[in-house]
Amino acid sequence: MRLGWTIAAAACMLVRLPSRAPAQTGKTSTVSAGAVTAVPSTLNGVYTDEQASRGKDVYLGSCRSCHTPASHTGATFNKWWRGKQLSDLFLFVSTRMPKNDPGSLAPDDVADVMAYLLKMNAMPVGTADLPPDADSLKKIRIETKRSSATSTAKRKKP
Amino acid sequence: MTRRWTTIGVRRFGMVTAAVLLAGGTFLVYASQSSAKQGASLVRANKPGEWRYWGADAWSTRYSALDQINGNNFDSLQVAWQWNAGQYGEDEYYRTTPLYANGRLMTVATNRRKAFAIDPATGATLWQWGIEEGIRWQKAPRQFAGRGLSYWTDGSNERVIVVTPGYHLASIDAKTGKGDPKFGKDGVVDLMTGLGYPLVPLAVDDDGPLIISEAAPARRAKPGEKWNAKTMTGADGTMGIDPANGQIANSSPAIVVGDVIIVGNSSMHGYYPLRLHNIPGFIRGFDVHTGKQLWKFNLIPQPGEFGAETWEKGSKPGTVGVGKADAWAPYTADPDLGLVYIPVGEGLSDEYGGYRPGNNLFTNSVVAIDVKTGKRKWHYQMVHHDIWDYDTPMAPNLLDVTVNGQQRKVIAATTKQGWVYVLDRATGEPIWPIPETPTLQSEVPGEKTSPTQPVPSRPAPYSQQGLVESDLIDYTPAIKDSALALAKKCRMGPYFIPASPADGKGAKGPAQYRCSWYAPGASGGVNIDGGAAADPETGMLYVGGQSGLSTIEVEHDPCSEHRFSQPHDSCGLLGALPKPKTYASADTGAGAFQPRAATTIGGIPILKFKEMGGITAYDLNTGDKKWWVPNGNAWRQLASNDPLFAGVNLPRVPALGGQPEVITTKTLVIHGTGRSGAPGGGRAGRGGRGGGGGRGGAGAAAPAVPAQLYAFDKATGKQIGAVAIPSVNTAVPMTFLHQGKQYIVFASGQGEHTSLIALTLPRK
Repeated sequence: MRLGWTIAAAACMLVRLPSRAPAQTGKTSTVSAGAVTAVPSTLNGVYTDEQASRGKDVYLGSCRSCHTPASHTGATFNKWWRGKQLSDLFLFVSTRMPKNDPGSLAPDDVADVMAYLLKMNAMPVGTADLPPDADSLKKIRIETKRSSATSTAKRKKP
Repeated sequence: MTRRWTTIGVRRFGMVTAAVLLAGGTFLVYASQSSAKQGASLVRANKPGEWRYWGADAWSTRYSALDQINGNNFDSLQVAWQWNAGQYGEDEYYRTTPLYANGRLMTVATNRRKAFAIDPATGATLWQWGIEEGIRWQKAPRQFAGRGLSYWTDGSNERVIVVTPGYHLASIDAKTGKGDPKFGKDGVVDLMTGLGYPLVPLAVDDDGPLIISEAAPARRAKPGEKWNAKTMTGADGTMGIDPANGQIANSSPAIVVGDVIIVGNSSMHGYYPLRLHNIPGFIRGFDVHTGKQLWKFNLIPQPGEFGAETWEKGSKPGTVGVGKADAWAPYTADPDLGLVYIPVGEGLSDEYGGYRPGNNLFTNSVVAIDVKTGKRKWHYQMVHHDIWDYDTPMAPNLLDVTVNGQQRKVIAATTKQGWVYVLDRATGEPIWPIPETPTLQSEVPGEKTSPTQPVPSRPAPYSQQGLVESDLIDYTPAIKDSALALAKKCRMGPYFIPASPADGKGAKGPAQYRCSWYAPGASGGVNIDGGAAADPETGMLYVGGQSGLSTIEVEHDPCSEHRFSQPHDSCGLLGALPKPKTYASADTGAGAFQPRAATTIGGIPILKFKEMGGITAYDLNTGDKKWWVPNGNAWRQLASNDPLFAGVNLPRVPALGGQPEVITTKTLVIHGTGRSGAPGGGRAGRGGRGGGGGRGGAGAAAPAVPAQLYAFDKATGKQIGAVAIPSVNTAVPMTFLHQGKQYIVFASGQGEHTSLIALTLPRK
């Protein structure tokens, strides 16, 4: 599994991501409007409180000295991540953070800190932890309440 | 309900019971013996066997002559006690190194930076001290326990000196935990006074902290404005410098030299600045008896002062491009020379200097200041016109060595740049040549890069320097080609590679690159966690640092006044500029994450393995590198299933990143792996999941690295011992002798899970 996502990471880094979300999320967003709820998203409860709590410790230990939680919420979070897959966030944190020791966080820690980011963004809590691998996370789309409504409305248009 | 700044003073704990009094009685007897002829017995302003300064002594050696814990018994160390700091409040990560003096262990803890005295034998809290700082704390840029405190004694009176997150200077009786009534007001001096700024009533429009870098700030209160307890907004009675000027804070202890307390400041973080000016850095001396300000030294020289001309567009506070130059690391002093050595941070902003053409003294310098007069004796600027966030992060180390047959008093500054700058500490002259060397010039519009930078000829660097072709893996021609193709995506060079414009628009038309290689990066080299221990008996310097490779680019934050900064979008944040008409709505999900280049192929780093990062031992008598070990002496075997690497014998590489945190004793180099040392299992407050095999998932799984403290032979670097600890250290350890027993104490953890952990040898 690790090799799998490692290679995915390299491939992702070598090929610049398309700048627009619809192209990136093509595979999951080709479903009809009525099936939107069937696409797993961060609004479906994809992490646990316990995981977010562990993630808070990771955050305070490895991230907080450069970032405040508020810099990962609201408009900033939306701008960077809304419409992407959780695997994108996983690869970003795994390969680019912390700033001068990229890749030093263990996959479990990355998944935990992502859970904390989701919690900070008021995403609902679920019953299972976010898995610490990009392949599984590729199936989960990042949505926020406001943007979800907006994007659903957009999709309802022909 | 008005929140007022008040001293809540001492809260004695129920722990002051018969048992503790008994312990207290024991140490009082011990103290009375040890404090006899205190002044005469001091070595580098520390009493042997104690740890009176952040770096052990005024020289910041991090050295103890103790030898009770040695190579023969290191592995038998046991946890003597664990002091639960989290019970007193949350913290960021716990980055404090405690002090030991005259029978007491003293520390700060929690994001309020409360001070505590602890019984070194039992871990019982003896007293605690703290103040309520209202809005000053709420909007403090450094809301954490900080790196420590300072200690003063005249042989009978003892004081603990604390600089709070809200920028107050406190002098506390080390025996009672009560503020010194003769010092300032009830033991507290308001450090926002005496800087030339009037104090005004403060107010807030939200109930949260400052958002990095300076969004959601406090503001000047409106006339008659009251506190709204329901919304937690309004004016709470706190007075401070008008936030329109910027922010000022503190993260490291003051240093005490004789009867003078030397205090500086931290600024706001400079990654995502919104305003084009901020408060400059200052160093001040205060009388330890009264709290009276004795002198002030401007780290951004004002018109008429030495160095003012290095700010070509002016240096007065409020001028566009003027701000920061904060000396946020701990300091070092030579009491015999009467000098304090100040490691200074960079200017505004971290990665774009277009608003501050010139070399920008005293940014990125070591400045030697006369303790009595506050006048500059000498300075050495290590980076001119910094645009790499290479602020000086660590107290420099002092050593007496013999170079080419001559006795030299030297200062060794470890830096983010990955070099040790070794200078004569009386004059500032380099011990070995540090020639001004031509460097790459920026393509970013408005940026005026320094044409040269000082590049030390020795000692050799301890971190990767830039990225050139010979740094790339070349196991096969195909691998070399792939690595080079990847490397060429961003700007390469031997060091000091300027950031590239992310939008590709250069000052003279299209830029060659949209990213630049960044090594060392903003975390060093040496940063907050690393730094060196110096052995005053041998002249050896043991540097804990990291070595990495990342990329750097700048672009315009659409809601900041700055033309360039690290890629960031501040729009919508309180205090940011309104969204421009051309702003791409956040709801489009346009996405700012556009990775420029990877640092690996098939999970294999494109950098050749080099003996860098980890711990590097230098002999400062010769400038030679003597030995090297990776952090935690932990290795992993590289492996890849990418066909490109089929049949290639890949090397083993360090398993851990992060910065080893090093001290040295009579016979040992002791280090912990630091906060990023032990993936998963080593983190405080979580179950032991074992090593996650991180490092970007590169190749084969990394071995599980348990939380341990390590001991190495000082001369050879051979590992002598390793002892399991409850969770990884998150700050530099310290050691002392108490009632005949040697202890090693270190901070660990984050959030609510913070503690001091004490190790000692089992009873025989």
